Amino acid sequence: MSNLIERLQRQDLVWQGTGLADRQQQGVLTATGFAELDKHLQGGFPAAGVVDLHTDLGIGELRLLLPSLMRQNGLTAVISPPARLNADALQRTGMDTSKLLEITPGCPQEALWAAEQCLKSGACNSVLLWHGELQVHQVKRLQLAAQTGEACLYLLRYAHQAQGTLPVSLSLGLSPHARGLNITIKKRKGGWAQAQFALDLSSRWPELTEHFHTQSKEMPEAARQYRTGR
Amino acid sequence: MTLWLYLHFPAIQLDKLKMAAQAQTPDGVQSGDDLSALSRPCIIVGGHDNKVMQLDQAAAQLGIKVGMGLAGAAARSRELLVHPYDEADEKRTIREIAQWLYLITADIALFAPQGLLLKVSGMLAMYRDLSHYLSTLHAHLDTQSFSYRFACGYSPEAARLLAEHHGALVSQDPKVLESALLGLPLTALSLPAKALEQLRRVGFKTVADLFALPLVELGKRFDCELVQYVSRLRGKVPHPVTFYQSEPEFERHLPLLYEIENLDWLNKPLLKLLVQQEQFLRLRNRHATQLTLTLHQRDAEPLVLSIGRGEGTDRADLWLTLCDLKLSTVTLSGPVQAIGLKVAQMCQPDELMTDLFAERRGTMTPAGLVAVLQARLGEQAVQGVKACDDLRPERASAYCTPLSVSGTPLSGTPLSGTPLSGTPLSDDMMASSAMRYLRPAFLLPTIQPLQHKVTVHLGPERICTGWWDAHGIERDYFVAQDQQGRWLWVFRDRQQRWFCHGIFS
Repeated sequence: MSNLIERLQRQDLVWQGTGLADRQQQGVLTATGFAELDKHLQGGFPAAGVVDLHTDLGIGELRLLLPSLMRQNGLTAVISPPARLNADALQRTGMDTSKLLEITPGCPQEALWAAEQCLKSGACNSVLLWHGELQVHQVKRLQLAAQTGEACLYLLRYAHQAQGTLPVSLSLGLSPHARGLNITIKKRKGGWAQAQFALDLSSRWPELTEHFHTQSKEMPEAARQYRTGR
Repeated sequence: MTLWLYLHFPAIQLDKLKMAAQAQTPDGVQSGDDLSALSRPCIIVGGHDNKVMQLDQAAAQLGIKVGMGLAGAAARSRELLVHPYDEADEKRTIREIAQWLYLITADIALFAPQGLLLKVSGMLAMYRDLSHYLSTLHAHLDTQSFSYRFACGYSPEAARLLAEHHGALVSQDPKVLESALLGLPLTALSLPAKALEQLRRVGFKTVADLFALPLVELGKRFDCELVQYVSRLRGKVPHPVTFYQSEPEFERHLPLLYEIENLDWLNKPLLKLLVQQEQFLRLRNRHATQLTLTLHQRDAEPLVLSIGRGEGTDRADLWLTLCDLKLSTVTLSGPVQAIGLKVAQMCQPDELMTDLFAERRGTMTPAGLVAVLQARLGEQAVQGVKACDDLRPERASAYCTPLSVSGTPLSGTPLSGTPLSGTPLSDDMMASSAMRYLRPAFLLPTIQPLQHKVTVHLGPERICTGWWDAHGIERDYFVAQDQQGRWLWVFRDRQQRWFCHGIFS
């Protein structure tokens, strides 16, 4: 019997949760900067691995990542972003823009290549990649690169592009909410998937929550004029 | 008396071609074709009448001799490879050899295109004796795989004659050297044909006959030039030589024996040059930050590639990967006949101040990573961003060279006076922050007309500036949300047209 288990282990067919528990205790997680999210993720984002985010553009996905990105010492590579990065805004938020690399490759293949180079270099702490469909083997390669360089890849994709399951460390679904974001933990390595919960982003960016505007009664006169279109 | 050693390289161009051929053959792939190509007889022809100047062993076996006409040589074999003589290349190569020898011996005089004169006397203080010096020299020179002849002499001219016509003569004994010199025929001397003819008529055949006559007698019978030449040869009059000085720049040219169409095959010849460059840089304690690689193509302009690396290095393997990446993006317009490599920029090596004990498994530095990415994707595709001091949103953020230090600090303060960094805002701050400096993280590369329905949440913020240059703007900006819940930064211009400018991601 034990012989059989050993043989299966050697072929990598048996996965043991105990090994993973050890690794988690060594602190390979980085805090997200949001206490509530940290609680749901039991510590934060993985420090090395692939995080798959299923999100629309412009609902607050970058605001979710910014606090953890700002704490890092290494570079942050931004690969094929949907629009130009605004250094002015990021610097006001407190981010050191000299640590940002904006990479705009010509084709998806080059984007994946660039992501792999950045991940395994050891110079980047995190890599943000906007990408469409991905194959299982491509994700495995990126995972390996992330382990080599101890970096984290945040993969930002539309929900409709995220069909099938990929071997990622963490998979989150994001959708807009009046106070911030609705987050669904779709998959977590060494943990359970969790139902949707709301994350309050209004403590940091109050102006960008619907809740704030419905609450605030005093509106400048001029703004009211524009709102009514007069 | 000063002892000199002369090195004569009779077939520099041929040796170099053979070397390139060996480098071009990929290891392991020793197919029949490659072997037969290497063993094909090869000759170098030159001069206005196309005489054979250099030939390899295979050609010698066919009966080809130096001085034979091209037609005669070509008639011996169908397989014969013929290359034109290139004196400029030989001159360049002899400098490279001098540079290589400079590592172990001090005084070197160039006798371009085929000879080097070394001053031995001074070096004997450093090496034990002549044989030790020579064995060091041989071991050093053999790594370059050039064939050469050598001889000692107590005057530069004597050493040269002995090296070219006698060869392999090493001794400190003046009698031995003298007797070897005396045995040389008069035709070996580099004298004008007229003077040689005069000497022949007098009945002189060897140098011994010439030396038998005292100089005064020679002066009576022949012209002044001959007397001077003889006195220089005998070491009575000093022979002026200028010694080689090491070059401050690295520049190499490598002709290829066979034209290359597949860029992958360039690796090995290129590595050879890069290894030489590594030695060059290491001896000077320098790092290269930019290389210029020139591919000389047949019937086309040479392709000049510039390969940069923000953080300099002297390591050949690192440069080779960068060159590979760069080469993978170029297309050739003709087969490559020769490659040239030059160090365009050098810098002082700066020591990395990294933690020895931090456990990091990636090995690249940020500058190294940027160099790799730029080599493959192009410099435009990898950019840093910096904030600029301008109120116009599209000018407040600009691209800059990656990893450059943060741009000018913003002089304008956020309207509420509180930066957004981290700490949650208190309630009264929230109330007053309705007009906080709020900018989207993403700016659209071009301004788009607003085409769908949005709800305006915040605004207006009027930006009306830039009247002093041609890009004046007059806009009212609003923070709006569309029906999918996306936060947009929209504005209305004077003509009441609505546009979308950014996304609050």
